[in-house]
Amino acid sequence: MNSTISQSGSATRSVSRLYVDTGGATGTALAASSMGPTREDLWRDAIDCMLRWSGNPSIFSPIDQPDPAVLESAIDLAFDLWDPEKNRPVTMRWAAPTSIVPSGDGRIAFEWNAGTDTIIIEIVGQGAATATVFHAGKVMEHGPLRRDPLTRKIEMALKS
Amino acid sequence: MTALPEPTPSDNSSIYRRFPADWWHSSRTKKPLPQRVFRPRPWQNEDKPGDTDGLSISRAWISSAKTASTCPFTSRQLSLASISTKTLVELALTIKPDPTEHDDGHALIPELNSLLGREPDYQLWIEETAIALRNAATIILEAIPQAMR
Repeated sequence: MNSTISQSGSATRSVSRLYVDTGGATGTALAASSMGPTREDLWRDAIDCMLRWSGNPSIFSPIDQPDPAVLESAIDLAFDLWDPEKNRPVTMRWAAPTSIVPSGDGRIAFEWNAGTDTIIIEIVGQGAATATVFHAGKVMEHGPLRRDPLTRKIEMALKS
Repeated sequence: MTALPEPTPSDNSSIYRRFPADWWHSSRTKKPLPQRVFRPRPWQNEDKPGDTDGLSISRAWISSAKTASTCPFTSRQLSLASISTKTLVELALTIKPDPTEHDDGHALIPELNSLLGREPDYQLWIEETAIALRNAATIILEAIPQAMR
Protein backbone atom coordinates (compact mmCIF):
# COMPACT_ATOMS: atom_id res chain seq x y z
CA MET A 1 0.00 0.00 0.00
CA ASN A 2 1.25 3.47 -0.75
CA SER A 3 -1.52 5.91 0.02
CA THR A 4 -1.54 9.44 1.29
CA ILE A 5 -2.69 10.06 4.82
CA SER A 6 -5.49 12.25 3.67
CA GLN A 7 -6.79 9.66 1.24
CA SER A 8 -6.52 6.45 3.19
CA GLY A 9 -9.06 4.71 5.38
CA SER A 10 -9.04 5.57 9.03
CA ALA A 11 -6.49 8.30 8.62
CA THR A 12 -8.90 10.27 6.47
CA ARG A 13 -11.22 10.72 9.43
CA SER A 14 -8.40 11.85 11.64
CA VAL A 15 -6.62 14.15 9.28
CA SER A 16 -9.66 15.84 7.82
CA ARG A 17 -10.54 17.21 11.23
CA LEU A 18 -7.15 18.77 11.49
CA TYR A 19 -7.35 20.91 8.40
CA VAL A 20 -8.07 24.52 9.13
CA ASP A 21 -10.55 26.18 6.86
CA THR A 22 -9.19 29.68 6.81
CA GLY A 23 -12.01 30.62 4.48
CA GLY A 24 -14.15 30.76 7.58
CA ALA A 25 -16.60 28.07 6.59
CA THR A 26 -16.73 25.91 9.71
CA GLY A 27 -17.99 26.80 13.10
CA THR A 28 -15.04 25.10 14.75
CA ALA A 29 -12.50 27.07 12.76
CA LEU A 30 -14.33 30.31 13.47
CA ALA A 31 -14.56 29.55 17.15
CA ALA A 32 -10.88 28.69 17.31
CA SER A 33 -9.77 31.79 15.44
CA SER A 34 -11.87 34.14 17.56
CA MET A 35 -10.48 32.78 20.82
CA GLY A 36 -6.76 32.78 20.26
CA PRO A 37 -3.88 33.04 17.86
CA THR A 38 -4.56 32.40 14.19
CA ARG A 39 -3.23 29.47 12.20
CA GLU A 40 -0.63 31.80 10.66
CA ASP A 41 0.46 33.03 14.11
CA LEU A 42 0.87 29.49 15.41
CA TRP A 43 2.84 28.23 12.44
CA ARG A 44 5.06 31.34 12.56
CA ASP A 45 5.61 30.80 16.31
CA ALA A 46 6.45 27.15 15.72
CA ILE A 47 9.01 27.91 13.03
CA ASP A 48 10.52 30.76 15.07
CA CYS A 49 10.86 28.38 17.98
CA MET A 50 12.66 25.76 15.88
CA LEU A 51 14.96 28.46 14.51
CA ARG A 52 15.79 29.40 18.11
CA TRP A 53 16.58 25.75 18.87
CA SER A 54 18.81 25.74 15.83
CA GLY A 55 20.73 28.78 17.06
CA ASN A 56 20.99 27.63 20.66
CA PRO A 57 21.08 23.82 20.87
CA SER A 58 22.74 23.87 24.28
CA ILE A 59 19.42 24.70 25.95
CA PHE A 60 18.71 20.97 25.65
CA SER A 61 20.27 18.08 27.46
CA PRO A 62 22.42 15.83 25.26
CA ILE A 63 19.53 13.35 25.17
CA ASP A 64 16.93 15.88 23.99
CA GLN A 65 19.09 17.99 21.68
CA PRO A 66 17.67 17.91 18.13
CA ASP A 67 20.06 16.85 15.38
CA PRO A 68 20.82 19.85 13.08
CA ALA A 69 19.80 17.90 9.96
CA VAL A 70 16.58 16.77 11.66
CA LEU A 71 15.84 20.34 12.68
CA GLU A 72 16.36 21.53 9.11
CA SER A 73 13.97 18.87 7.84
CA ALA A 74 11.44 19.74 10.54
CA ILE A 75 11.49 23.41 9.51
CA ASP A 76 11.09 22.38 5.85
CA LEU A 77 8.13 20.20 6.80
CA ALA A 78 6.57 22.98 8.85
CA PHE A 79 6.77 25.40 5.91
CA ASP A 80 5.32 22.76 3.62
CA LEU A 81 2.37 22.03 5.93
CA TRP A 82 1.83 25.69 6.75
CA ASP A 83 1.79 26.61 3.03
CA PRO A 84 2.08 30.37 3.62
CA GLU A 85 1.88 31.03 -0.12
CA LYS A 86 -1.49 29.25 -0.12
CA ASN A 87 -0.58 27.01 -3.04
CA ARG A 88 -2.83 24.22 -1.84
CA PRO A 89 -6.61 24.11 -1.77
CA VAL A 90 -8.04 25.31 1.53
CA THR A 91 -9.07 21.80 2.52
CA MET A 92 -5.48 20.55 2.13
CA ARG A 93 -3.88 23.06 4.51
CA TRP A 94 -2.76 21.73 7.84
CA ALA A 95 -3.54 23.31 11.18
CA ALA A 96 -0.50 24.11 13.28
CA PRO A 97 0.37 21.18 15.52
CA THR A 98 -0.69 21.06 19.13
CA SER A 99 2.93 20.51 20.05
CA ILE A 100 6.41 20.25 18.64
CA VAL A 101 8.86 18.62 21.00
CA PRO A 102 12.33 17.14 20.87
CA SER A 103 11.60 13.42 21.14
CA GLY A 104 15.08 12.20 22.02
CA ASP A 105 18.23 11.10 20.19
CA GLY A 106 18.05 14.06 17.84
CA ARG A 107 14.43 13.56 16.76
CA ILE A 108 11.57 16.05 16.66
CA ALA A 109 7.87 15.15 16.95
CA PHE A 110 4.91 17.17 15.64
CA GLU A 111 1.58 16.20 17.19
CA TRP A 112 -1.99 17.12 16.27
CA ASN A 113 -5.00 16.38 18.47
CA ALA A 114 -8.67 16.54 17.59
CA GLY A 115 -11.07 14.82 19.96
CA THR A 116 -9.96 11.21 20.29
CA ASP A 117 -7.74 11.42 17.20
CA THR A 118 -4.01 11.99 17.38
CA ILE A 119 -1.48 12.21 14.57
CA ILE A 120 2.25 12.24 15.24
CA ILE A 121 4.85 12.96 12.59
CA GLU A 122 8.32 12.36 13.95
CA ILE A 123 11.32 13.57 12.01
CA VAL A 124 13.91 10.83 12.48
CA GLY A 125 16.65 11.89 10.07
CA GLN A 126 17.42 14.20 7.18
CA GLY A 127 14.32 14.06 5.00
CA ALA A 128 12.98 11.03 6.85
CA ALA A 129 9.99 10.81 9.14
CA THR A 130 7.46 8.40 10.56
CA ALA A 131 3.74 8.98 10.91
CA THR A 132 1.51 7.37 13.50
CA VAL A 133 -2.24 7.83 13.46
CA PHE A 134 -4.23 7.02 16.62
CA HIS A 135 -7.96 6.81 17.14
CA ALA A 136 -9.35 6.40 20.65
CA GLY A 137 -5.93 5.40 21.94
CA LYS A 138 -5.31 2.70 19.33
CA VAL A 139 -2.75 2.83 16.54
CA MET A 140 -4.62 2.88 13.22
CA GLU A 141 -1.66 3.49 10.91
CA HIS A 142 2.08 3.61 11.34
CA GLY A 143 4.74 3.95 8.69
CA PRO A 144 7.63 5.89 7.19
CA LEU A 145 7.49 9.13 5.24
CA ARG A 146 10.16 10.07 2.71
CA ARG A 147 11.42 13.23 1.08
CA ASP A 148 10.66 13.41 -2.62
CA PRO A 149 14.04 13.94 -4.37
CA LEU A 150 12.43 16.22 -6.96
CA THR A 151 10.14 18.42 -4.88
CA ARG A 152 12.34 18.21 -1.73
CA LYS A 153 9.14 17.85 0.26
CA ILE A 154 8.56 15.14 2.83
CA GLU A 155 5.72 13.26 1.25
CA MET A 156 2.67 12.57 3.34
CA ALA A 157 2.54 8.98 2.22
CA LEU A 158 2.26 5.98 4.49
CA LYS A 159 4.04 2.91 3.19
CA SER A 160 3.14 -0.29 4.98
CA MET B 1 24.88 2.10 60.83
CA THR B 2 21.70 0.77 59.26
CA ALA B 3 20.24 2.76 56.36
CA LEU B 4 16.78 4.16 56.88
CA PRO B 5 14.09 2.25 55.03
CA GLU B 6 12.95 3.93 51.81
CA PRO B 7 9.56 5.68 52.05
CA THR B 8 6.75 3.68 50.52
CA PRO B 9 3.98 5.01 48.29
CA SER B 10 0.45 5.43 49.56
CA ASP B 11 -2.73 4.66 47.61
CA ASN B 12 -2.85 8.19 46.22
CA SER B 13 0.84 8.51 45.39
CA SER B 14 2.02 9.71 42.02
CA ILE B 15 5.06 9.79 39.79
CA TYR B 16 6.61 12.71 37.89
CA ARG B 17 7.84 12.85 34.33
CA ARG B 18 9.99 15.79 33.17
CA PHE B 19 9.75 17.10 29.60
CA PRO B 20 10.88 20.04 27.44
CA ALA B 21 7.87 22.03 26.22
CA ASP B 22 9.34 24.85 24.23
CA TRP B 23 6.68 24.85 21.57
CA TRP B 24 3.48 23.57 22.94
CA HIS B 25 0.44 25.72 22.52
CA SER B 26 -1.36 23.57 25.05
CA SER B 27 0.04 26.05 27.49
CA ARG B 28 -2.41 28.53 26.05
CA THR B 29 -5.35 26.33 25.24
CA LYS B 30 -5.01 23.37 27.63
CA LYS B 31 -4.75 20.80 24.87
CA PRO B 32 -3.27 17.34 25.52
CA LEU B 33 0.29 16.72 26.54
CA PRO B 34 2.57 15.46 23.78
CA GLN B 35 2.40 11.67 23.59
CA ARG B 36 6.17 11.55 23.12
CA VAL B 37 6.58 12.67 26.75
CA PHE B 38 5.70 9.12 27.78
CA ARG B 39 7.27 7.10 25.00
CA PRO B 40 10.76 5.79 25.69
CA ARG B 41 13.45 6.74 23.20
CA PRO B 42 13.36 3.90 20.68
CA TRP B 43 16.21 1.65 19.60
CA GLN B 44 17.94 2.98 16.48
CA ASN B 45 21.28 1.18 16.46
CA GLU B 46 24.12 0.14 18.78
CA ASP B 47 25.23 3.76 19.09
CA LYS B 48 21.71 5.02 19.81
CA PRO B 49 20.11 2.22 21.82
CA GLY B 50 17.39 4.44 23.32
CA ASP B 51 15.95 3.86 26.77
CA THR B 52 17.10 0.28 27.19
CA ASP B 53 16.29 0.15 30.92
CA GLY B 54 12.89 1.81 30.72
CA LEU B 55 11.25 5.22 30.97
CA SER B 56 12.77 7.61 33.51
CA ILE B 57 10.42 8.96 36.17
CA SER B 58 10.64 10.39 39.67
CA ARG B 59 8.72 9.05 42.64
CA ALA B 60 6.73 11.97 44.04
CA TRP B 61 6.76 10.47 47.52
CA ILE B 62 10.55 10.86 47.56
CA SER B 63 11.42 13.62 45.04
CA SER B 64 10.39 17.25 45.18
CA ALA B 65 8.81 18.86 42.11
CA LYS B 66 11.84 21.14 41.91
CA THR B 67 14.31 18.26 41.79
CA ALA B 68 12.19 16.23 39.40
CA SER B 69 11.73 19.15 37.00
CA THR B 70 15.40 20.14 36.86
CA CYS B 71 17.49 18.64 34.08
CA PRO B 72 20.65 17.22 35.69
CA PHE B 73 22.69 17.94 32.55
CA THR B 74 21.76 21.60 31.98
CA SER B 75 20.29 22.60 35.39
CA ARG B 76 17.43 24.05 33.34
CA GLN B 77 13.96 23.76 34.79
CA LEU B 78 11.62 21.85 32.47
CA SER B 79 7.91 21.16 32.58
CA LEU B 80 6.56 18.42 34.80
CA ALA B 81 3.66 16.01 34.48
CA SER B 82 2.22 13.82 37.20
CA ILE B 83 0.43 10.46 37.01
CA SER B 84 -1.08 8.46 39.85
CA THR B 85 0.58 5.15 40.70
CA LYS B 86 -2.91 3.65 40.51
CA THR B 87 -2.94 4.42 36.77
CA LEU B 88 0.39 2.65 36.34
CA VAL B 89 -1.01 -0.42 38.11
CA GLU B 90 -4.10 -0.38 35.87
CA LEU B 91 -1.83 -0.33 32.81
CA ALA B 92 0.23 -3.24 34.18
CA LEU B 93 3.29 -1.03 34.57
CA THR B 94 5.76 -1.29 37.43
CA ILE B 95 8.18 1.10 39.11
CA LYS B 96 11.82 0.08 39.56
CA PRO B 97 13.76 2.34 41.97
CA ASP B 98 16.88 3.79 40.36
CA PRO B 99 18.19 6.57 42.63
CA THR B 100 20.78 8.92 41.15
CA GLU B 101 23.12 11.53 42.59
CA HIS B 102 20.70 14.21 41.36
CA ASP B 103 17.45 12.58 42.44
CA ASP B 104 16.96 10.01 45.21
CA GLY B 105 13.45 9.39 43.90
CA HIS B 106 14.52 8.58 40.35
CA ALA B 107 13.02 5.36 39.04
CA LEU B 108 12.24 3.52 35.84
CA ILE B 109 9.18 1.99 34.25
CA PRO B 110 10.98 -1.10 32.94
CA GLU B 111 8.16 -2.30 30.67
CA LEU B 112 8.62 0.83 28.53
CA ASN B 113 12.06 -0.06 27.19
CA SER B 114 13.66 0.19 23.79
CA LEU B 115 14.96 -3.37 23.66
CA LEU B 116 11.53 -4.99 23.72
CA GLY B 117 10.33 -2.06 21.59
CA ARG B 118 12.33 -3.45 18.66
CA GLU B 119 9.50 -5.95 18.19
CA PRO B 120 6.81 -4.32 16.02
CA ASP B 121 3.89 -5.54 18.17
CA TYR B 122 5.58 -4.40 21.35
CA GLN B 123 6.37 -1.06 19.71
CA LEU B 124 2.66 -0.53 19.02
CA TRP B 125 1.85 -1.46 22.62
CA ILE B 126 4.37 1.14 23.80
CA GLU B 127 2.82 3.78 21.52
CA GLU B 128 -0.67 3.04 22.86
CA THR B 129 0.50 2.89 26.48
CA ALA B 130 2.14 6.29 26.01
CA ILE B 131 -1.19 7.69 24.77
CA ALA B 132 -2.95 6.22 27.82
CA LEU B 133 -0.35 7.74 30.14
CA ARG B 134 -0.58 11.18 28.61
CA ASN B 135 -4.39 11.05 28.77
CA ALA B 136 -4.14 10.30 32.49
CA ALA B 137 -1.41 12.86 33.21
CA THR B 138 -1.80 16.16 34.96
CA ILE B 139 0.50 19.06 34.24
CA ILE B 140 1.86 20.39 37.49
CA LEU B 141 4.54 22.71 36.20
CA GLU B 142 4.90 24.56 32.92
CA ALA B 143 8.30 25.95 32.11
CA ILE B 144 7.82 27.86 28.88
CA PRO B 145 10.47 30.28 27.64
CA GLN B 146 9.49 33.91 28.18
CA ALA B 147 9.26 34.57 24.46
CA MET B 148 6.51 31.99 24.05
CA ARG B 149 4.20 33.32 26.75
